[in-house]
Amino acid sequence: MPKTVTYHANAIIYFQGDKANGIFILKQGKVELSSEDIATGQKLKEMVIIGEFFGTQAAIGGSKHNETATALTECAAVFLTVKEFEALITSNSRLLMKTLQAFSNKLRRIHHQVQSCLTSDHINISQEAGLFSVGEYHLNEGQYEQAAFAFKQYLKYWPSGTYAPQAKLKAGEAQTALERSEEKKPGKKANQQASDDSVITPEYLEAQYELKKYKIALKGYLEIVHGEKYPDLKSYAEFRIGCCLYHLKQYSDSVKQMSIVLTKYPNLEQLGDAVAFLGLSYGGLNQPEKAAGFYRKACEILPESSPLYQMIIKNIRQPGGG
Amino acid sequence: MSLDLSRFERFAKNFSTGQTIFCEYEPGNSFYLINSGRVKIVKIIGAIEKTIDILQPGEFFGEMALLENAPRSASIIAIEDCTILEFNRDNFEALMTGNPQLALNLLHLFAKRINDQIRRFSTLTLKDDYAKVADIFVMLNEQSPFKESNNNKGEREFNCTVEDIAHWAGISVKRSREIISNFQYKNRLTLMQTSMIVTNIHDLERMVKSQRNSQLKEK
Repeated sequence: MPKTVTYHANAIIYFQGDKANGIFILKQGKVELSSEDIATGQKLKEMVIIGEFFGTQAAIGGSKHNETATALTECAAVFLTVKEFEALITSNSRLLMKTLQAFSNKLRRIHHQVQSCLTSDHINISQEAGLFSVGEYHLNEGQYEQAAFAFKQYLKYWPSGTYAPQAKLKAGEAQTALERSEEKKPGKKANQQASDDSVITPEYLEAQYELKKYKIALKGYLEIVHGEKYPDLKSYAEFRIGCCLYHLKQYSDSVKQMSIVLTKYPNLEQLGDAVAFLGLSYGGLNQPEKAAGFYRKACEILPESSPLYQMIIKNIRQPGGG
Repeated sequence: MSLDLSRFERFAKNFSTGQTIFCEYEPGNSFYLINSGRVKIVKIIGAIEKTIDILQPGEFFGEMALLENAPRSASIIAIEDCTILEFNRDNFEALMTGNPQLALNLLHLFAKRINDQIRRFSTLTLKDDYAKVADIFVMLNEQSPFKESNNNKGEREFNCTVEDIAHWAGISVKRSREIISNFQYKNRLTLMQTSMIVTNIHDLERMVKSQRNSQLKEK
């Protein structure tokens, strides 16, 4: 049950930096919220109006209060736990919208402060150039669908922008490549149909891998290898299994897996990476001589710009490191 | 979480795997709620694509657009076939009042974003770039409290790049690289392929604290 709490004049209700454990509604008296502007050190003061909430944002966010609340006169306030507060506002849509608005205003204010700090000494890439570069990135990576989307959006917002003529050309290029790749994959539709009954898609697994969720990725790649949904991706999935095993520190398994991959798929697109991972796995097994042999081979295959190349070079210089 | 979204079917849009919902830098004034399927949040930094997070059904994205017409700060790409509800400022109220549970979720999200922004702002008020970079690691450490590793008290691994640090600290990538190399030279951290290992997070905490104290004295 919400309870009423009373305070004498000049009493502190809570201090800035106190952990918030509930929300107050002012019933009677005067309450002042004071805080220090982080940037200028200036004191900021604000009065609470009777009937208004205070301490809300910190309580909801489970964080510390950003201001000190002081009773200026004798005061009475209703104290609500977060649960009680949530029950109250969900049953009153006017209150709910008001709270949402108060929060979004506060967010807008602080967001604005952050932005003003950034623009003074941060070289921001223009929005227009930024969107165009996103399109170019996807086009270079052969991600035609995303590239086509980015260029299309560019032309929608900046039809006569600086990069508009280039964007038009590149949008066409991406679209043509996209259509061509769709034609090449008559099975694509069937694949999509089939994927409806399973949540696993190669895109999902790749994202999990990037987020270092190697266990989830490993499980998914195993399904691809043993399933029939993505026959073209089996070699890649086998390679990725080796990478996952390495990251999971199961070095002897990753050595086995990568050796299988190298014998089974000598024309694998990620051959250099696979050799590099084999070396890294031997490194993990404390077999520096074997590791060094594979590092050398990997360096012959990998381009210098590859992050793995850089990492290996580092490992060669300081064996055991990395 | 159980949501009754049948009333909002007219806002539903379908996206197939690989399709972009919106692109980084694009202007935007709608926000989204995932009804089914999953999406990834990606940023393109130089020649690298970085996945920031994966969102599940029931989660929001693009909510900053409700606040101001700021450009999108990342791209959203479907990694499964998805149904996503698209809202703008006008129908936002109908969605919220018709679905209090959703409004509460959004309230929590706002509270979190406010805290994040306040925290970020406090980093930006540091005058020294080295202290700024140190404070980014302190912040990342606060966000995901890490288990103290076996014998190595204070060692932390962070899944971030030089570009991320530049972005968060509001400094150029070149400057960020300079500072990270200096930290590496002083054995404060080790730069890995996709992560950074801080030798002792408490060391960086002290560095930030002393900078704050000296700034306070100046005032």
